[in-house]
Parts: sequence; structure tokens; C-alpha cells
Amino acid sequence: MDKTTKINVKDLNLFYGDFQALHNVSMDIREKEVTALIGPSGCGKSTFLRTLNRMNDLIDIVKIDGDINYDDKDIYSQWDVIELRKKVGMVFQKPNPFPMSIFDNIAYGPRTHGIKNKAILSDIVEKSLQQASLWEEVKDRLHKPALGLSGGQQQRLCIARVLAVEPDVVLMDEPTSALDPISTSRIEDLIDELKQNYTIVIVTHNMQQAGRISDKTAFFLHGKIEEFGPTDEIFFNPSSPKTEEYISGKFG
Amino acid sequence: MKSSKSVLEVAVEKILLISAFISVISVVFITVFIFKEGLPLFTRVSPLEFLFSSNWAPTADPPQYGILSFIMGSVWVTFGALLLSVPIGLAVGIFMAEMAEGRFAQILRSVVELLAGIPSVIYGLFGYIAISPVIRRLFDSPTGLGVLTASIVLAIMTLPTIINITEVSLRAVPGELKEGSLALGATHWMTIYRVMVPSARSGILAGIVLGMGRAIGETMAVLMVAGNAVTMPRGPLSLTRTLTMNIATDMKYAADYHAVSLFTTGIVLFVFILGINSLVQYLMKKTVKEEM
Amino acid sequence: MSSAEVLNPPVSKGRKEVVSSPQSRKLRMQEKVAKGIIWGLAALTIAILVWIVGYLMVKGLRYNNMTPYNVTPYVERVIDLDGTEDDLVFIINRGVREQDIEVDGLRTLFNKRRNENWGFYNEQNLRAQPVVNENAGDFSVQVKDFILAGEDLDDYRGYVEKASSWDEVISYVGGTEGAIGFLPASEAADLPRDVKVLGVRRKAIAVNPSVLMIKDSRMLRELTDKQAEKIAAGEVSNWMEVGGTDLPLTLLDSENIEVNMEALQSTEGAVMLTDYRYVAEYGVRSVPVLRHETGWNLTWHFITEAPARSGQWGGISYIIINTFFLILFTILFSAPVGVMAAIYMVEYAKQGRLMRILRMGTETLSGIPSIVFGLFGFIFFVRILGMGIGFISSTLTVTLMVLPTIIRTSEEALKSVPQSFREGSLALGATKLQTIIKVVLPAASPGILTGIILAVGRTVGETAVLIYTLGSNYDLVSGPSSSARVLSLHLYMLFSEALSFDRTFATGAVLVILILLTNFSATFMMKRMNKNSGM
Repeated sequence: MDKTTKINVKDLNLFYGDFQALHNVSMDIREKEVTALIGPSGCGKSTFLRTLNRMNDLIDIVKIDGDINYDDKDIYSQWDVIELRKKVGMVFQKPNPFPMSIFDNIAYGPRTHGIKNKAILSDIVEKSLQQASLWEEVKDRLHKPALGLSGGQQQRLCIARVLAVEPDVVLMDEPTSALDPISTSRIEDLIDELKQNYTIVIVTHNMQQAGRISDKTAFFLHGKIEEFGPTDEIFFNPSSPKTEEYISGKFG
Repeated sequence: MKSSKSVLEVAVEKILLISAFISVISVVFITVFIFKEGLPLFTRVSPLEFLFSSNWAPTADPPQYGILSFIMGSVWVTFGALLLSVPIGLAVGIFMAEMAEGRFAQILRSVVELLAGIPSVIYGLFGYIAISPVIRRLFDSPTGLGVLTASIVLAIMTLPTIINITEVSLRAVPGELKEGSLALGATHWMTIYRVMVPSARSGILAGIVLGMGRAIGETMAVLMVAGNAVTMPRGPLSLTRTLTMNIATDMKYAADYHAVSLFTTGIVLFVFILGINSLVQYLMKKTVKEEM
Repeated sequence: MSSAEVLNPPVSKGRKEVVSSPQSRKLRMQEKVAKGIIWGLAALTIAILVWIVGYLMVKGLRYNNMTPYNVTPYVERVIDLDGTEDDLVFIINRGVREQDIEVDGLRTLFNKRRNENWGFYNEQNLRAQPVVNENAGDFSVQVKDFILAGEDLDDYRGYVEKASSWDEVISYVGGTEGAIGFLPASEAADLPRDVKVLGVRRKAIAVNPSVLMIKDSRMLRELTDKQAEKIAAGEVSNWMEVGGTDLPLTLLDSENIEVNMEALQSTEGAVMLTDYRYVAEYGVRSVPVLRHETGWNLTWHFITEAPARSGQWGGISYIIINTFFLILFTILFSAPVGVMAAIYMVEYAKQGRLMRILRMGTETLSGIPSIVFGLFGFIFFVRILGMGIGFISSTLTVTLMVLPTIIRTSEEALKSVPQSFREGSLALGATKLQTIIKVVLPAASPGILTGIILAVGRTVGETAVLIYTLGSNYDLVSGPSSSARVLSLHLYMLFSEALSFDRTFATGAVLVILILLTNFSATFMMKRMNKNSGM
């Protein structure tokens, strides 16, 4: 494989005050792959994901120690956090469209980053919605409130909103856990398509989902990476007995 | 469950019900009596003349009962106050909800509570002694009293209302929206003013309207600083009399229909306040709906 | 929260370029400016409160005035009278708070009015009682001349007490409230403890009328105490130096009064520092001199003495007591009703129409301006129910006003009592009423108390509603229909009658302190409540 490393994490330790949530986590995330993070609740997978675009900065008591490089540059000392978050976008567990029109939701990012031209904005909105395969459903009501969409549509809107700022990496924090099965499968299809152009890191509780969509899987346990490797290996030939136990549904 | 409640329990429940109804009864009584006392004026003057004439000479012969200048006085000082207090109140509300940390936040919170607790006569005294000389010097006005001074005093008085409700509304904005915006690379400030404030707008608006109600209804502070001139206000430096001031001042010596006209002034004030209150209720309900 | 940029980078990797863009730098700049402005406005809010409270406290605690007098601030405790062997000393009863008095004041005390009161000089409501020694011969005559300052009265007025010896004067002054008398200095060497010496200010700046004339649209109106000192010391050569017109200043000696008075009358720009009585006697003019008067405004006396003369004299003790009465009775009426209403709304009422009506009633009531409550109280309690302007009418009106505050906070407090408390009690076989009284109310009591404290704060500050329901009598409240004043009302009355700003401020300071106290206790209760519910 000649895919280059997009994000490189080395010896990451993360503390919530006195509590250590991540222990010596190291991981290479490669370009245009889907990396799934699995593990029982509270194992640190979401915390880890949020560290990648520095969303943990929002919590005062979080202290971080270790290296995280994006494009070979340290995300804390060599990336402006605004630029980093532009490059490393994030989709959340619960769809969170802003209380404004569909158009304004998508245009929010580009506008923030200085694009004012209406025609360019319209292009971006259309392109992003198409990429998120939402365009056909909403093209006639772009100026209606986004809160009028269904849950699944809202989540695709949020994905489109991330795509509109042209990121490299899309982080997804259990993006389908709040959705119905049909919407979930649409999002999974979407992830499969997006992988052509984007590097995706996804946290999921759903083992089958991880198996279906990811190239690599990391199994987190008690804040440590128990096992990390190609998804097939993790699922069919795990080296750690704990991984096997978890995947076969013995705990978690 | 047994269906037989003891006599005591039933009696207590009735007493509690009556207590709960005292406020409703008071509102009804206040409404009825203010209207009953004030409406007879319209046997002497038409409602239109009362509202739209600025000729107030209740002790002249024939007496004139036009309160337009007082309505305008109330409008001037209220909007003047909001003009000053809304930007500050919004900013401080944002500060309390999003930026304040630790000791400073605590201090600011107590400050806002205290500002809300200071009696209006104190504000009036302060306005007269400390603010009016500044106005006098800055704008070369003879007394330093009037619309502007009253507006400044009222602005300080309405500040706590606006700050508190802005803060509460901003805190009610779901955290996911904030995260969503930040994750797109927006700065904290951008997130506040492009996402959070628009999301909280109904609540914030309710706060502003509530502040407006406070300003229109305020009596003592304006009475001490607005100059109490029975003329149409012409600008920020002109002396003025508001609806509340008209009641408070003339009540001292009013007799017959003059006294009735003060209750009629009370009706106008009352209707203003009721309108404002229902607007607040409507906005608050809208906020609750939006949050769901 | 905004610590995104605060967090230290975990590892320093030398100084490499940071990936950024002009747009993000612009955004960051924008954020910095906006947040800076917001910080500024937050600081401004604090500054406003500090300004208001600080201003009132400073003004309320201390007075600091420049008051014009006909005489200079120079105080003599032992007066060297022209034409007497012995010096003169004025003594007063120790209970009089005056330290020194202008000579004009002595004249009124001994001769002018029957009911002369020390209040005119120090706001102490105390009748002055002058006493003289009938058997003092020439000394007494000289003093009379001095006190009367040229007025031709045959004798002291009848109400002036007569004593027959200096010892009798001393014992009379010592034993009589508000008494004032005088002695030769030789008799005043060893005064008893209940008598003290009263200083006298009698030096006037007598001038030739030309000094006070308008010239080049300038005119000398008054001198400060410092300027008067400089003139007396001979350091001023032209009236321009002390704010007067362009006129050379000639300082005359006050010895040999007749010759020098003639010189004063004939020399333009002439000035003489002399006993004030000669100003009247020789018909010359004197320049008012400002005295810098400073001291405690909010004193123990102010708080503990009864008000007199519309609040100009005495203190505010009755008014403070009235305020507490108003608070007490308002809470006595409003707290039970409010808490019971809240209990009904939380524990009994079902969601629906009834609840909507109750809630709307409370909310509307809380929005009604106090002047409208005042109108209602005036028409309903005062007139229709015939209670008259007085304590009971105002208490009932204020009760209605604070009701929503108590209902709302009690409602919140009751709601915050966990459902499991009620279930636990009901499961043990307690009735609903027993559960409420024994379990719910105690658990909600800190919250309810907070509401009551807030209502106290509101009652203390309320004014507009009281003007036409409580009236303006500054006596102690004596019954349900007695008119009275409370602090806020007293402040407004002092203000609107322009009687004394110093006393207005002192009253304001007391009011502010009361508000601070209620506020802090409410915060304290709230903290305790949070702690309790946290356990």
C-alpha cells in the first residue's frame, strides 16, 4: 500500500483532571481509508476522536501529553486551530443543524472562511449537498429551515456542511446512533462513496457497521488500544483474546 | 387508593385554592377599579382627544385633558433607555453565559443582582446628583435633567433584566450547536454571534420587552430626574413628564375629574403593560417551542 | 470554555512555521476585538454599580461642604473682649453636640426666639436654654454688648434663666439639657464634667464697599478660608489675587477701632480683620467666608434619634422602625398566602386551564407597575374600604405587590424537592397533607426563605406605591390607620422638599446598607440551598 499517513498519533496520554482517559495511544491514520474506532462505552474512543481536531480544548480540565501530527505537523504547535478544524471536520452523534435555512447551514462554513460571493456559495452548497446525496431531496426548499428535515436528512445535511469547507479528514462520532435503520444504511452508503476523496475516522457502537464500512479498526479498552489493524483481521483473526470476546459480544 | 379524604384534607385543599386565587382576584380587582375610576372621564372628553391632544390643563376653565405629551415622554425615555441598555445588556449576557470564569464571573453575578435590588429612589437620587451635572456640563443644558438623564438612569435599571434573560436564553442553546460551529473552524466569537445569539433570539427579545415594561412602569427614578415639564418632548435634552410621573405628581392635589383623569392615565399605562406582558409570554412560549 | 488558545502545546518541537491563513488571522483578530469590547462592557457594569454604591456611601457617610458665613472659621475658646479685664468663655451642657458657633448664633440664642433650637446649628433637635448671672455687674454688660452686636435691647428676654452667681451658672448649665451660659475665664478654670466650652467664631473680614462692587463684570462674592488667612497675614496686595476686582488691598490694624474704621470707610480697597459686631456698628460691609465643614454624616445619633422638623433635625430612628414594621406586616400577610398558593400550584393543581389562569394571574400581577398598585390601593383600601391613608392600607397594597415574588420562588423550591421524598412518605402511610407539612415544606424551606428575603428587599425599596397609601407623617407608627414614613419615602420627601442633601444621602446610605444586607442573606441562603440539594 502506498497510501500516505494523514494523521500520526504517538504516545498520546490524556487526562480529565486527575483521571487518565487515554494511555499511550499510538496510531497511524492513512489517507482515503475508513478507520473505525470500537470499544465499550467509556473506553476513550470518542475522547480520542475529539482530540484529533482539538475539540477537547473546549473542556478546561483536559490535559494532553504526546504527539499528534496532521500532515506531518504537530496539531498543537504547528497548526492554527481554525485551519486544523477546516481540514479535519467533524460530524456528531446527534444531528445538529443550526436554526437557519438549509442553504445558510451549508454556507456557514465557507462564509466563516471568507467566501462572500453569492454564485460561488451557491455552487458550494449544491456540490456539498450532492456529495452528501441530499441535493435531490432539498433542492426545492433550500431556503426553508433546516430543522424541518427528518433526522436522517439532518445528519446528511451536517455531513454536507462539513464537506462544504473542503476538509481532508472527516471525523464521525457515532453518526448513525440516533437514526432509523433506513437512514443509517444511506449514511453508510455515503461513507463508502466519500472514502474516494476523504480520510474518514468513525466511532461506532455497531460492530456490523464497523465491519461493513471500515478498512482499519482500532479496538479501545480502558483508554488503551487493545488492538489495531485491518478490519478483516480484527474481526476474523484477532490476536487479543479480549478483542475476540468483545467482537463476539461477550461484553460491552 | 381510598376515595375518602378526611374533612381536614379537603378543607386545607380549599384554603390553598383560595390562596392561589388571590393573585388572580387581585388582577381582576385592580383592572376593574382602575377602569371604573378612570372611564368616567370619557363623558367629558373623547378618548381620541385624551390620547392625541397634548393639551394638559386639568385645573383650567374649561379643563383640558390631553396626555399625548406624557405618552411621548414615556416612549422617549423608554426607547432612550433601551438604546443604551440593550447593547450593554446583550454584551454582558453573552459574557456571563460564554466568557466569564471563576471569581470575576461570581462578582459580576452579584453585581447584576445588586443592580436589580437597588431601590428606584436611590437611582433617582444618584441620577440627580451624579449624572445630571455631567449632562449639564457636556451638553450645556440648563438643568441637566430631562429625557437623556432619565434614559441613562432607566438604562441602568433595566440592565439586570436584559442581562439575566440573555444569559438564560444563551445557556439554553444546545451545546451541539456550539460544537458544530466550532468544528467547522469558526472562532468562539463567530459561533456566539452567528449561531448562538440567533438561536436564542426569542428569549433575548423577551428580555428586551420585559426591560421595556420595567422602564415604562418606573415612577420614582424618572420623577426625580426627568424634569417634570408638561410639554411635548422635543429632543434628548428636553424636560419631560411620563405617564407614571403624571399620576404621581398630580395625585397630590387632584380633585373631581382631574383625579379621574389620573386613573384614566393609569388605564393607558395598564394597557401598555398588559400588551407588553402578553408579548413576553408569546416570545417565551416561542423560545420553549424552539428548544424542543 | 474559551481555552482553545490557552492550552499549552504539549511538546515543543522547535520553531517551525505554524500553518495558518490570512482569513484565520482575520477571524482571530475579529474575535479579539469583539471579546475585548464585551470584557469592557462587563467591567463597565461593575464600574456602574461601584460608582452608584460608592458615591452614595461616601456622600452618605461623610459630609463635605463649603458653607459661607459672615465670620471667618477662626475659633476662639477664650474671648478677649475689648474693655473688660477678664476674658470671656461660653459654656454649654455636655449633651449639646455643637463645638463652636458663629457670633450671630449667640445673638439668636440669647435674644431672638423663644423656642430657639440647637437644630439650627447642628441638626440636633434640642431646645436651647440660655442662662446669665444677674450679679455680674460690668462684665455682664460688656458681654451683652458683645452678644447683641449693637442691637439696642434693654435686657435679656424673659426666658433667659437668671442665676445669682457664676457657680450657679455652671451648675445650671451642667444640669439642664441644651443649656448655654457664659463666664469670665478666671471662673472657667476647673469646669465639671457635664459642662464644656463652646468655641466662638467672631472675626469678620470688614471691607470698604468698593471691594464688593462690580468692575469689568467681575465681583468678589466670597472668600475661601485659605484666602481669608492669606489676607490676614498680609500676603495679598491686590483683590484680584483672591478673585476680586483689580483693586489694591490695604490691610488695616484692628487696634484703635475708631480711627481705623474711619480709614476703612474712606480708603478704597481697605480691609480689616475685626470683631463682627463692629461691622454692624460702623455700617461697613463684610465679605462672606467659606468654611470647610466635614465630618460624619451617618452617625449613631442619626440612626438613633427621632426625626424632627420634617426630618431636618434629629435622626431617622422612627423611620427605620416604621420600615421594619412595614416589612414585618407585609411578610406576615404575604408569606403564608404566597406559600399556600405555591403549594396548591405545585402539589394539587393539575396542568390545564385552572393552572394556566393561576399562572397568568401571578405573571400579570408581577408586571403591574407600582404606581398602578398605588392607585389601586388608594381607591380600594383607602377609599372604598375606608381604611384611610395609613399603615394598614399600604401594607395590604405592598402585600399584593410582593405576592408574585414569593409564589414564584416557593414554586421553584417546592418543585425542586425530589419526587422520591413524597413517595417515600406516602408509602409509609402518611396523608398528602402530612407529607407536605412534614417532608416537602422542610426540604423546600431554604428556597422559600430566599423568596421571602427577596420580598423583603422589594418592600424596603418600594416608594411609588406608598406615596398615596402611607402618607408622610414622620412619627412612629401608632396603629393600623396611622400615616407614616419609611426609609425610601423619607428619602424622597427630603429630596423633593430640598431640605438637606446631606440627610438625603445619609438616609440613602442606610437604605443601601439594608438592601446589601438582604441581598447577601439571599445569596447566602441560595448557596446553602444548593449545598443541601447537592448532598
